[in-house]
Amino acid sequence: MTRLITSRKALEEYHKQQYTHLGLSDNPFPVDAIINRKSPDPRVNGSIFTPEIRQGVIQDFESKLLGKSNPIERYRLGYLWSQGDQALGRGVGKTALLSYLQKQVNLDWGENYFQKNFPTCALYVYPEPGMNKLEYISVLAMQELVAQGVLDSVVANLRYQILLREWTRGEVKAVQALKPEEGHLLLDSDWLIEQGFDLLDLDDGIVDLLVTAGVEETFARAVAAGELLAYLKTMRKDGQLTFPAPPRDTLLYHKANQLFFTQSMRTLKAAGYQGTYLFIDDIENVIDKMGRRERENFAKELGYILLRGEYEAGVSRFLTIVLTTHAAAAQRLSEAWGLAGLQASLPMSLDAPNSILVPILSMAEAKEVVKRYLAHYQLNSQLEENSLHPFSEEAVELLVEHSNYHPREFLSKAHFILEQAKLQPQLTQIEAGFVEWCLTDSPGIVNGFNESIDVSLL
Amino acid sequence: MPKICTIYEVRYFYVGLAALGKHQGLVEDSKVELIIREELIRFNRQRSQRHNLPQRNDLFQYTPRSILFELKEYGLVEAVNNNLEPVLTANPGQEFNKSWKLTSEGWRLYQLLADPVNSAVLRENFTSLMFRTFPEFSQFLKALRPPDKPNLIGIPIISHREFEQFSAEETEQAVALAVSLTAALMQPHFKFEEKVYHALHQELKNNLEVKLAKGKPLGTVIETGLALFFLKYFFKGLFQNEIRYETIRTRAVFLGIVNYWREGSYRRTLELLYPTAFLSSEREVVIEDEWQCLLAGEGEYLYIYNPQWHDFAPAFTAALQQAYLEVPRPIGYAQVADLRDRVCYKMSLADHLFDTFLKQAIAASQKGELGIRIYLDSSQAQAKPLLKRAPLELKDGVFNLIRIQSLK
Repeated sequence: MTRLITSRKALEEYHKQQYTHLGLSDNPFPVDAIINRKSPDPRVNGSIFTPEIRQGVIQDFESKLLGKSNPIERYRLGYLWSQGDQALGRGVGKTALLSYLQKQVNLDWGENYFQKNFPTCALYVYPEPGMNKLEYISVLAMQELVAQGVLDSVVANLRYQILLREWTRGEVKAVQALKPEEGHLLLDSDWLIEQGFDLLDLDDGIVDLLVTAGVEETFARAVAAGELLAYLKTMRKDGQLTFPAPPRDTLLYHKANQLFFTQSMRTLKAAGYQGTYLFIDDIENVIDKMGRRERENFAKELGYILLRGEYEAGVSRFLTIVLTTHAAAAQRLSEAWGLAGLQASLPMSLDAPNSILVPILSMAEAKEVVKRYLAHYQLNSQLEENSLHPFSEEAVELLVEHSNYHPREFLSKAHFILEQAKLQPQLTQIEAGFVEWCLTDSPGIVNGFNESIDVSLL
Repeated sequence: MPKICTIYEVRYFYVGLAALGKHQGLVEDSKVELIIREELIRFNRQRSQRHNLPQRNDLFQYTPRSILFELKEYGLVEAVNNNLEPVLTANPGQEFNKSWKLTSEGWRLYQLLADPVNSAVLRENFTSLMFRTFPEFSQFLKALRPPDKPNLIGIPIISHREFEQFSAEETEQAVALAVSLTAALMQPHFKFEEKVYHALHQELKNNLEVKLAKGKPLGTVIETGLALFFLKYFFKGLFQNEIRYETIRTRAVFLGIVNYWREGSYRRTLELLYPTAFLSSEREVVIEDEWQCLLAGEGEYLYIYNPQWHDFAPAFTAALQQAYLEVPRPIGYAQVADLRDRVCYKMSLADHLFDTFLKQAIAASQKGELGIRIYLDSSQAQAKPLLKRAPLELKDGVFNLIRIQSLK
């Protein structure tokens, strides 16, 4: 059928008009409240984040794990705990928190955070279920180096260093006059050529600098050319970096730890960074399918890299890893942690100084979260700041209690409630009664009396 | 006098009612075992799923008949003929066409099963039924709470592994060790005269003489002998064996009339049993908000400790925080079961009341009303539901780990 599809813009406009009777430009809440950092939608990518309500957690994180007052002496391994098990512990706001912190650090490579004393970057990786080796995390981390623009910054800074160091060809004064926020020009081929610089010479200079700093030449060349991902792909027969790799395609993974924990770290050091933070979200995805021996190997390898071995990450205390975990994962890892010697110095315990708990929200905090989401989409700018409109306060309290204060649950239920309210054009305020009606589990009542007897609940 | 069947789980009787109720309260004798067995398997499956435990493969070979027997003693089911008339056991000819039917009282309790809100009412009803039907429960409680002795009973549980080092010829040394370990467990709580330990020594020796000759392992004889000695000491002739004691004790714990906790190490444990109720032949003057009164038999009243949250909250919160500081927390969480044991022992509470109050405390802490924050979590489940290690069950899951943070 050759029917033209209605324009997306028209559809979006139509969709948004459905909420105007509620004083909203759109449904402010995400459908399933699962963060997707790559999404442009602010409801989904974590950009609607209320640092104020997590102020305690953020301050704790900054002081204990980022080492804000003394980053050189910071812990090399820290833990961000979520309250709740693998099911319930998802959706309390860990990813939103880590995304927020990463953005804050990477805004100016830690300049604001550490008062220009500690240039740094933060990387965030989320291992997929089944990624049961540290090597997979290393590959993800290198991809993140590119995605966050860290390697672009590395190249810019290395070019800056080279050009200021007795470079005789081209307009060096133009480089000397650059302000920090103009660093992007050093990645601009047109600008560089205009200033009389030869790009290939610059690349060679970067390679020399990196090799002198102990980086392998092939890695250095890939960094200089801005082709790290292409370089990694050459080590896979299928030329991809997707997971899982084809069977017996192991070359990349044999080298991955070396490439990230040494080559990448040396590269960052050479560019002027003094540290790196690696946030590994949901360590349970890594250990879930591991047996006892595998957990032990994993812990030993991590301990070796961070504390004992000749990896640059550990030798120069360059890297801090933050693992997100919860009690179930911690219990399964605790034996392995002990065998790896990590339990003594970097115990995986909530009572340890390098642990932070992200709890379920209190009622006041939950209301603040709802307010922030609403604020993004409220039409009436004259509404009192941080209003709950179109919800009544009682309605929000009922919703939050019904969801056991769990952020993912009450945000996704709020989405559902607004979708129901959208269908009632006469409704301009959502009261507790409407919320209750929306949330009543009617199918449960329809089931027969006999089917509902569960003696184990008595 | 009717005999108590070896059924630990009181809720198996609920299952028996549910099984008959689902079949309009009437099931042929030839089918009743199968139907009850199916319900028992379903009960275990539901519990295992919720607690994230592996499914158990219990056969329930004799349990359905035992359940039926006791339900009949309680007057909740009756055997009927084809005309739905009660079958008289004196008339064997009627046995062939027997069916089992819920009585009106059985129907009433069956109706309560559908809503978990009725768990307290069901517990009360079965408490009353068990006390009125089996005198052992009264005798058990009276032994636990005599007027002139402390309200505590201790049963030592010393693993047979402690005695593996001894050969059959070294009984004297093994017995000496057993008595010494027992004394170490008992002395912090019970000031026995020396003659008690002499009597224990002698009994163990006599047991070993007889049982080693029959080929029984030394360690096992001592382990069993120790427990039986103190069962006899505290309960006189009430319990002939440990199974009988455990049956009544486990049911009594569920009903909320006694509780216990085990202190000590893995191989040397003392089970401390304490009452959370008392019997009286008179209507006692008690604080109504704190004690629930049930009829336990002819002229006998059972008073069950049942404090209310609004008055109990400060004491409970303080006990909770204190217990939290005392229990091991290897990853920064304590086991809910450990807290439960300690707080209940300190406050003479039934386990189910602890759970109720903990849920209240959690709700209050989330609203900022309590001065503490309570965090729950769950970890890898144990292989089977162990007695006294049950997690806390909330609407959104089961939790065996707890963390308490003071906000002051």
